[in-house]
Amino acid sequence: MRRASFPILGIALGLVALTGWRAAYAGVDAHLAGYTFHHFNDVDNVSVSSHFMRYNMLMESSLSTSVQLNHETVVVPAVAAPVGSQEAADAITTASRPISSLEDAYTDFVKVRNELQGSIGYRGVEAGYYVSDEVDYHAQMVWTSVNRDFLSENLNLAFGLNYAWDRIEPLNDEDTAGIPGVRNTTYFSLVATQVLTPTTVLRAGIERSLVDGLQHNPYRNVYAGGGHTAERHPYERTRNDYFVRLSQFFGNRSSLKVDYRFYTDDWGVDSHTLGAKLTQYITDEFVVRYRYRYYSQGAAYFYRDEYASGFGVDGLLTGDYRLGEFDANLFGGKIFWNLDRFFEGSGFLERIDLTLGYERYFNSTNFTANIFETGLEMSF
Amino acid sequence: MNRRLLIAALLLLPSVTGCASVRAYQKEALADPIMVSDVEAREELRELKWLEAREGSTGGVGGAGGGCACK
Repeated sequence: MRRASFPILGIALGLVALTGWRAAYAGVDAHLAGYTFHHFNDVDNVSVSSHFMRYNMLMESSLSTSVQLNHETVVVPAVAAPVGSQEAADAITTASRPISSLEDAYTDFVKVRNELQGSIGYRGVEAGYYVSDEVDYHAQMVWTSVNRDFLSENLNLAFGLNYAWDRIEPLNDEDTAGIPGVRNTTYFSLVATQVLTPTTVLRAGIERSLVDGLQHNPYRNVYAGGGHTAERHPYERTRNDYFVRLSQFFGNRSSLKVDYRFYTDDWGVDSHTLGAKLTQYITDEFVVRYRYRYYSQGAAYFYRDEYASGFGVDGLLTGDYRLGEFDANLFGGKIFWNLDRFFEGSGFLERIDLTLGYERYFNSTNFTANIFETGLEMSF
Repeated sequence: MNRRLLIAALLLLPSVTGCASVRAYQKEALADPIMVSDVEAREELRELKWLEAREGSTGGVGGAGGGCACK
């Protein structure tokens, strides 16, 4: 039943989209199709290759539909340390991937994730469904959002509501119990966008999510009291964040977007994120964007580098550096190249754009990653 | 951090800035692709997928898929 749900829902969404297309084909105002390839590779040689595809249809009746697919492959490399060494034992004990036997530790763990998302919108109201499937994780979500303009379209207020339900079914792992679990997330957002001047926009918002269920990695062990024991996180988490973004257009055909986000939760994690994006037209067809992001977070109340006993802190233990204190930096660049002139007279394409991007991410725990992205987007 | 102050600031934003009335014909720059937020919203969703696996305060909105092994 579990395996069947993904294709059935996929077919159902496809039929809905096709039905909408056929019914309203005469009134279709624009089609937009896009493909993006995204490749992530980090210092541990974990790699994620993603193929995003999307198709949007806008109709004269103000109705819009959207279907998005993502197919990605995750590769977690084999333990590289010599068999029997302390380094190998540490790597196996603290691994965040399943290792069913010693032999298994020395082979790459590869898994495929498929995601499908469909949405329909009408005059500022949108609703959608998302499903993701992989060998040990199955996620689904429904969402809706409403946005309205006020003050002669100088102010927009948007409210969003998501509900997600995930099922985690760990694979066989030699040193953890791998008990299956569920996780439910309810998310709310309220965002205000205000036009300040003919060249300036301010956007501010609050988000709140309530997470209930399994939230630790079922494959990971933690050193505690001279031995090791499975990771244990609380089953509930309330997360809040507040953000603001200022966008400014300049006379030399460039724009600067500056944003700040403050996050806090009941696990004791607080964070600050500062970002800036500078985008500049080089020619009418060629745009370049530079980007920088700084991130700083505090530790969860139960995070320790080492636990004195298997009881941890109030029965909680984590080997997840994401719950410790660290800073991170990200910088990168992206180019957008409009290729319309190569397709002039095709009578089919209205616009076609190519994007190429590179980003470098590094943090204070000596983690580094390279992110490459290329994409092609067409409207017709 | 005074959460109530932040929420109040957000709610007061329209009343503070609402007096600035920009007419439709003055919004040409705001409609330029380098100012529109739709493209960035899609980029941010893709970014959220890998950042959620690397930072403790990112994501959490549900539906990002997940997978235990790549975190």
